[in-house]
Amino acid sequence: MADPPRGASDPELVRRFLAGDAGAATELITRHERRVYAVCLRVLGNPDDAADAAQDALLAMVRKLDGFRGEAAFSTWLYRVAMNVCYDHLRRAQRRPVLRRDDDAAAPEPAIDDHADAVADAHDVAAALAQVPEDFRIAIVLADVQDMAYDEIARVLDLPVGTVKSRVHRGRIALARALGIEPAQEPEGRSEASKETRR
Amino acid sequence: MNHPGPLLTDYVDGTLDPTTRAEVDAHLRTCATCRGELSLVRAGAGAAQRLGEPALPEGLGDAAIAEAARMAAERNPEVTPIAGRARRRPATSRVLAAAGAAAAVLLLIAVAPKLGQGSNESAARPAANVADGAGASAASAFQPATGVEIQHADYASDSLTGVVERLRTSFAVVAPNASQVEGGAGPTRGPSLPTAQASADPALLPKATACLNQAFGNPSGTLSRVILASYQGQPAYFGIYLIGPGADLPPTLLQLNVASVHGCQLLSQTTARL
Repeated sequence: MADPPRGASDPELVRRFLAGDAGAATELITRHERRVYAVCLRVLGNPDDAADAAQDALLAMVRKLDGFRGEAAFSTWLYRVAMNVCYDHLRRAQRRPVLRRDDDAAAPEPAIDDHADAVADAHDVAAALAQVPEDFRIAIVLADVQDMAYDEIARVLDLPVGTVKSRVHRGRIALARALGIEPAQEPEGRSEASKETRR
Repeated sequence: MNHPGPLLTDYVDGTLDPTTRAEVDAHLRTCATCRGELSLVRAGAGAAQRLGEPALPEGLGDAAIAEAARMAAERNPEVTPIAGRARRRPATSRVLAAAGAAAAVLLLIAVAPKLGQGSNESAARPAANVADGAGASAASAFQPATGVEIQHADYASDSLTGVVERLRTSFAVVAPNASQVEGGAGPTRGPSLPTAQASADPALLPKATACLNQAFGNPSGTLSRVILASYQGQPAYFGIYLIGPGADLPPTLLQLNVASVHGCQLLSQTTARL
C-alpha cells in the first residue's frame, strides 16, 4: 500500500464511491487486494484461510468506507480493517500457531552457517513464520514483509511504538529460531557488529 | 551499557543515532550473548524480508466489487428503483445486476428458490434470474458478451434447468417480445431498463472468460453473456454460450457453463436446443 496511487488518490476514490460511483470502489479494491491478501496469508499461514479472510477484509472495507474520515492514511485505515478480520479468523478457526520448542519443532534443515541469508527459501520461511507466536508474527509481517514503518504499525495495531519495536525484535529472533538458526558463536572481542550498514 | 535488547533491532534497521550505536558497538565487543542475539535478529529480519509477494487468487475482490455495486446502486436512487436491500439469500432477495461505467443498474426480480425453502414461497416466486435479459441479447444472437453482469443471487443445481429453459424460450422469440415471457409476478420490467449487456462490467470479462475456459476448455460457440453470481453458496461465473452450425447460421444450441470463481473449477453445465 506504499505504492503511489495511479490516477485518483485513495481518498478521492472513497469520495466518489460514497457519491454513488461503484467503479471507484472497484479501483480501490483492485489497487489494494494484493497487499490485503499478502498480509492475510502471512498472518494466517495458509492460502485458503487467507483467501477467505482477504475476501472478508475487502468486503468489510467496502462496507465501512463511509466511516473513513481521512484522519489516517487510507492504507493505515485499510490495514486496521484487514487486521481485525485476520484476528477474527484466528479466533474463529482457533488456529493459533504455537511456537514449538526447539526439541520438538519440525524445523526445516538447520542452517549451514549462522546466517539465514544463505539458507532458507521462501517456502521454509513461510512455514517457519507460521510457528512464530501470533503477536510477534503480526509485528514482523507488517514490519519486514509489508515494510511498514514502526509508527504506522503502532497506529494499525493501536499499540505504543515501543511495544511494536519490542515485538518485532522478539519476532525476528523467534523466526530465526523457527528456521533452525542458532546464535552465532564468535571469538570474544571480534567486532562483527561494527560492519553493520544501514539497510 | 546493559544488554541492548530491542535496540539490536534498531541497530539492524540502521536507525540508531551515532552515540547509541557506538554504545551498542562497545557492548557487542564484550558480550557474546548479545552478538548471538544480533545474529538471530539479523537472520530473522533477512528471512522475513525475502518472502515474496504471493500470487493473487482468482476472483478475490469479486464479492467486494459486487457489494460495492449494490451499495452504489442504493446511494443512487435515480437509477436504482430498489425497494429493499439485496440479500445474499436469494429466496428473500431481489437480484441485482451491477452497472458499468454509466452506473445504470438493472433490477431483476427474485431468483429461483433455493433448496430447503418453503414450497409455498417458492410457488409465489417468479423464476426470473440469469434468464432475464436474454431477450435483449437475442436480438444480436452472435454478439459476444461485452462485460460481466453481477447478480447478488445464489443458484441451486435444480434451478439451472429452469434457467436454461427460460433462456431457451427467450432466445426463441423476437427480442422485443422476450420480456413478455417473464409473466406478471414481481416488479414489472419497464421499457427504459438497460439491456443485460449494457449493465455489464467490461473490466471483469477477461478474468471471467479465462476462468470459464480453464474449467471447460475453449468453447465452440459464442459467449453471449457472463454473469457473476453464487452457485450453491460459492462465487461462480455463469457463461451462456450460443452454439451454431457455423457459416453465420443462427445458433441451435444454448449452453450454460458454471465455473467457480476460486480455482476455476467446473461446477455445472446445462444445455438446451434452441
